[in-house]
Amino acid sequence: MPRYHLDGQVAIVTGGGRGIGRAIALRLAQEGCQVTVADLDGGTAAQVVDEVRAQGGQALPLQVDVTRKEEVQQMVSQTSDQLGDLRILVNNAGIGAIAPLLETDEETWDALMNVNAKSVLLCSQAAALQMIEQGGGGRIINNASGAGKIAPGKNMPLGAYAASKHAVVALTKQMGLELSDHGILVNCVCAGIVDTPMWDLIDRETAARQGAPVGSIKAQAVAGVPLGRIQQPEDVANLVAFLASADAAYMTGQTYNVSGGLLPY
Amino acid sequence: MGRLQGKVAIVTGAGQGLGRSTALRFAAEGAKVVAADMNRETAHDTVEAIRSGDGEATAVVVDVSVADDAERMAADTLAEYGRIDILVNNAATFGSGKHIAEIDEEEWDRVMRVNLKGPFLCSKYVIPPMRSQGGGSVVFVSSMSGVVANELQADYNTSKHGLIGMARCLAQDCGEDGIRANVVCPTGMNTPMMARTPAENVASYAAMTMFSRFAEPEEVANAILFLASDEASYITAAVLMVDGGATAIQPSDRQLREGAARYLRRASGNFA
Repeated sequence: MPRYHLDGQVAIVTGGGRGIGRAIALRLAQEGCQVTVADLDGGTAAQVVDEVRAQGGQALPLQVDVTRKEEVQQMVSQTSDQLGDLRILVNNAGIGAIAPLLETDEETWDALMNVNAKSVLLCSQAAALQMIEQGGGGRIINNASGAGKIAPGKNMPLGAYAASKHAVVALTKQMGLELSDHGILVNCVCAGIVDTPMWDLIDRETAARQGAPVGSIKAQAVAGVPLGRIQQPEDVANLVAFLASADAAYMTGQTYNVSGGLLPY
Repeated sequence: MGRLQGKVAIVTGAGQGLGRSTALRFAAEGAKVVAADMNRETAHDTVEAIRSGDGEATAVVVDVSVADDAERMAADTLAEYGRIDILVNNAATFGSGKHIAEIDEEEWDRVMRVNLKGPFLCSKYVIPPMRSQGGGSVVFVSSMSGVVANELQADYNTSKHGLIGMARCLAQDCGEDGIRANVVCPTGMNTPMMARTPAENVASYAAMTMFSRFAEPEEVANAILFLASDEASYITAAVLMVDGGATAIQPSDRQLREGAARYLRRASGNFA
């Protein structure tokens, strides 16, 4: 149900083809946004666009590698050419990798940093320049992770992933400051254990390392959530929709948890 | 349909400032509001404002730091509306404004009684009905002063830091009951409380934000509404900074002075 009246606002959601990104794209479309669904996998982006259209919304599918500056710039220019003035960027694209730090190779580190952190800089630069050219004003919402605040734990070797997500939290603060004079608000969200393909991967690979049954890692993690249930992608989309709305006009530079109480701070 | 349609909400300190803005916004979103305040007149003013907008509200006169009052507030709410879905722990007092070494014991106790014991008592008595209903949402109004230091505010800041701890523990204890507990931390707001603050301090608070301006109470009420509503059904033990980014940066003294000057020019002495 629409709550924030974002009618006609143009949004880009990176990694919009599945998981949390898909839920955000669908939610923003329900709120009246015209959404560019950007994904490395053009097929999933097209599927989500079909879902948006089936709801009666407007959307544009784009196959984008968010680590490549030219592709990111094209994403922004195609969006503003085809949908209109860009108002909202959701930096959601991300990858995970399971490896204890002593076994983390340079390629893994570079890939995580490129996709999870550098992409946030590149996409935000391109989007903010576009917003400033339009006369200023806009929202940038970064999807970090609980791993952007804490070490995920001994049984969840996600050290490099956590470093890349901590980088997103840090970027949010300084970006909020640097873009505040242009009326562009920058915020970040940190989710807990979300029922997504990425958590399936974490569960599968961690379980394999420990010789534990598939599903047990996720179940253990969920058992520690005060609200007692696994998180749905829509839970994150609810917070993103709020941060994109006029109701969040005094909020910038900050990071907000949606974790069922899992995250300690 | 309103975002709080059919819900029953208690807002403490609802007679003025942020509490009043929150009560009005809740009512506009379809909640039945219990407007609690120590001051009978201002509580009734809030209720009148809600009713004149065709909303539903009841005033209760409560000293949140008195257990009997807090218990009666919950009981009266149940008697009137049959349930309690939301509690906003907003009622608070300013500190002594003194250096920590100069704060009197009585002054310290007064601040802790109102700002910490009050929210504890109000929460304690709404938890049983929320539990038997299958859930609820408690929102604590802390402050930017709940996460950082301010000069001459040891009593106030200690109480506001404490609220964050209380909210997180409530979230742990009551998560399985479906009761959520969260915190909003505003920076300075254009409220009666701030109108009593020296203009210099007001300017430096505003200068700490990325916008070089205060929040309007309505902007903070937006965040309280979000946390109180089902849109935040997976959010608990969370702290929402509604501070214009103030605590995300470490401003230099020079930035603060420049920002304060900018703010004073814009406000042209409104708070003097």
